[in-house]
Amino acid sequence: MGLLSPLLLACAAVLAVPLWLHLRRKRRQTPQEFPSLRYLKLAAARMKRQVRVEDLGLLLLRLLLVALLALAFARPVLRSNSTWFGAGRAVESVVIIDATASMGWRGPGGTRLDAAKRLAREWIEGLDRSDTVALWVLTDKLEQPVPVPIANRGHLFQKLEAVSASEGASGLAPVFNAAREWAATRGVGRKELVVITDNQAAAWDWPAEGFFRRVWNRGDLGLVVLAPDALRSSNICVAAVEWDGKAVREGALLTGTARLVNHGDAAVNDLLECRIGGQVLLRKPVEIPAGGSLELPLALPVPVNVGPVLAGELALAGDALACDDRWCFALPVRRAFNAVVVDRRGGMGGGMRASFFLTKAMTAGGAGKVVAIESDAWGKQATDGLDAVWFTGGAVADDAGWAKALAWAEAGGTVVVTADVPPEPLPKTWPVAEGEEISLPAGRIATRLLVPAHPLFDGVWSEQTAFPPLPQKTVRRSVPSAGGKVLATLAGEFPMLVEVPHGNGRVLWLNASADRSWGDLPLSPAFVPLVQQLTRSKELAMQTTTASWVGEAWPDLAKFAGDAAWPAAGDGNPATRALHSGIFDALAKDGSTRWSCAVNVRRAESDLRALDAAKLQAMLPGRVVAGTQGIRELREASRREVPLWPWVLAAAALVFLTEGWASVWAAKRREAAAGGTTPVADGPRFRAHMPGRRIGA
Amino acid sequence: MAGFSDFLSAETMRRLDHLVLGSRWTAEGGRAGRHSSVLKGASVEFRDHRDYVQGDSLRHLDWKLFGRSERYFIKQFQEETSLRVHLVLDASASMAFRHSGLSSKFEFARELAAAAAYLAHHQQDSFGLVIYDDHVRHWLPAKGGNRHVRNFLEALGSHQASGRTDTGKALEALAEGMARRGLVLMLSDLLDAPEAVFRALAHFRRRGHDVVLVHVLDPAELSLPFDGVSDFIDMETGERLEADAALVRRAYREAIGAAIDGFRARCGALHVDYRIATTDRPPSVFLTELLADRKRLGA
Repeated sequence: MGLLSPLLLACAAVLAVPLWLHLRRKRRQTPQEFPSLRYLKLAAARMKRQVRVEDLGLLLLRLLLVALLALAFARPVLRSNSTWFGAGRAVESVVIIDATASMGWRGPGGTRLDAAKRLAREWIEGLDRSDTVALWVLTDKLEQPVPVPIANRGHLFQKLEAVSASEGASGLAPVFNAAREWAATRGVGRKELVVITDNQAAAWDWPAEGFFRRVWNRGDLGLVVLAPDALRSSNICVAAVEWDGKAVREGALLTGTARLVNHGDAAVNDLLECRIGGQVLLRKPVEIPAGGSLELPLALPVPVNVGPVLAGELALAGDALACDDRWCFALPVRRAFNAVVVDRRGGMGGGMRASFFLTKAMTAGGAGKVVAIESDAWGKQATDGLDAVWFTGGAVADDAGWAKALAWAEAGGTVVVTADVPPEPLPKTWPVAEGEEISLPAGRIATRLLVPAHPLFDGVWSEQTAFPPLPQKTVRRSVPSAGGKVLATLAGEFPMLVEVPHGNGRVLWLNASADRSWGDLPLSPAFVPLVQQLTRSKELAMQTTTASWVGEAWPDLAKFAGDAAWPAAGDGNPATRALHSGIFDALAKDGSTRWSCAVNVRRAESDLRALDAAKLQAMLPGRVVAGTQGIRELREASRREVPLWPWVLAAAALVFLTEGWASVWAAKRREAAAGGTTPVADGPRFRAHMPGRRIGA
Repeated sequence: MAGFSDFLSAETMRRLDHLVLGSRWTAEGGRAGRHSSVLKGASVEFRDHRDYVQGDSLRHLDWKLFGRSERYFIKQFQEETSLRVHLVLDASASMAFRHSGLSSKFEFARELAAAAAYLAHHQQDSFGLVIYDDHVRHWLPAKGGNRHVRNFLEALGSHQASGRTDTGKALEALAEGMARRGLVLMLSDLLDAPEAVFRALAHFRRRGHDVVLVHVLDPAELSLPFDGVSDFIDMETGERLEADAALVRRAYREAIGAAIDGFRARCGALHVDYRIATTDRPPSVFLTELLADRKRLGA
């Protein structure tokens, strides 16, 4: 039981004052000389007992009346966890704390997460001792420090204190799904779900309304969404950085655009810096209008000798939410590649042969060192340091040469085979089955990229920059061999590019040829980039850099990076995902960097504006409250508080009536004791003793 | 010079002139009077017969009886003598109580004593006065004569109610001194230990006195007419008692009623004539009714 207005209980003391005065008052006594005191004493002694009992009864009734009135003023309630008058089953609660990146917003009183933890503690302390509580935490995923409700407050508070801010981002959908599943496993007792969150609009950006209307269906699970007090939404962030290229070259100019967003209500001046390897390469003052954004062009020279990855960050000076004030990036540094073009015997003499055009295409822009050899020389050709080997014009004439090529591909190399003259007989491991050579009418053949996201195409061709039609006169109707995958087609029916993985490398079959007898491929605008991409495919496939978000799984290193490993988690276990923003390197045992991953906080966390409480309340099958006051109000409203004061008032009325009846009864008794109004001396008993009648003798 | 008019009005005395104060029992007066004596002697009142013995006067021989029985009997006659009236007056402090403008109990008793004395004097009887509280303050043996009347009235007027009551101690010795039978008229509020009072009364009765006990009460003592809480003070002991008169009225009435019942019963056992006199009625009226009642009963 509790009191909603305990201070009014002091009314009891105030109301007791008149009572005290009444008891303490000096009764006005008239001194009266009286001779027959002996009889009066007898009478008084008899009456005193009776009057004392009556007075004590009346006093108790009046005290009870005063006490009941004071108690009624204090508005007592019966706090119950059960359906009726609290013959009580304990409540099972799950307290879920939103520890996503936005909860790290730091105000004068600490972070939102600090406030959330205080609210959680207050909520838990407000529960009955028999109630059990589980503690879940939402970061980039739902974690369960205390997975099932327990009554041990010490352990709960210990786990609560251990909750720290994360840079993860997540909607609240996993919370409600998990809670719903949890509730389904529990008994019929009362259950409560308390979600302490800042109610970011992004957190509710899922079909919540439909979920609660059609899926939730947990009438036995009390739902409370509790927000910290005084949430402010001012925040600026580096919303995105778009680099013009997917890779950089040492000494070249790195260009791009940074998008800065101000989510606050006031314009903000800040300083944007670009830091690479501890060196500030760019510093720009920026002014971001209130509620607006700024597209800022970037241009900075790529330092030399930066290694295989250019890693750095663009950062603002920062505000209350620091994690989104920087943008980490890691770009691969392209270096000149080495390749060998193997042409058929005698094919090297003519200037219009395929190897000629291929060599020119590969060395365009000074990007590589390419050697053209005849097929006889392939057996003696060293493969160390090569990025790719091209076989064109039917250069692979024997099994030994092809076996060497495949062995090299197994080791991670890239073998590119053109379709112009296949070997006779066709090796079993050839990337495609033997197919008919088809002559086409003059013109360009439409191409279609079946896997646009493939590293070969990604960043080069897209919907905006389509792969151009090829001026082919001849194509081969072939189908990929086992394990082969068609990456692009010609005319919608002929495979244009087939990839067959071999060990750590691959064999690529190109249904085209630079030989002019096959068409005018060297004249196509797609020729040079296609040849360079195919030659670089080993580098592309290795993806030495990745951009990722906090909470996303690390790239799988098993295939390309050998024994390299991502940094271990805080508890020493192998990390499965990035938990913080920054540049993370996957290091091999020899300490070399095999992979770099730029991890950033999802910018959905940057917009701190909360969803409208009324809208949220309309959507939720529970209560939406804020702060300590909210908890207090909620406890009043939602904890099945059975108001007792009407009963107390009724009891007071009953006592009042009883007291009235008892008073009248006592008064009548006393009136009777007073003998009414009849003079005693005129009574028959005394008349009998009057003179005129014989008494005694 | 003191006279009965100091206590009695002319009207009262005129009314008393027609009354007779007598005893229910035989008296032992000092001289001839109108009251039956314990002695047999010259009188017109036949009492009984006795056997003749030698030497008896033949004047009283009942010849008619001799004719019928042939035996000699002497007729005996009741001797008539004067009455000794002993007026015993309680003068303790409690007798000073008065309420509602009435006379105090002591004043009432004094006037009643004066009226009785007046009657006795008028009947040529002797009368005495005893005034006591916890001891005998004044004792005037029963006598007659004008000088005695003057002494009686002076003594009666010279005392006021005061002191505590000790009836037994005061009267027991006195009873020894009142050897001859007479009428004892005791005027008291009886606020004393009942045992002591009745021990004294028994003493009087053993001496053959006709005892009339007049229980003098103020009407307020019967009805307890006070309102509210009063600090009641005992007039003799000064003891205090805080009580709500209205609250204890009925119980008080029961208590005093029980006490009166007790007095009545014990007086009946001792053949003491117990009367209640309240001060709201004139003493002469009380006395008139008392004597008329006693006359009816043979006094």
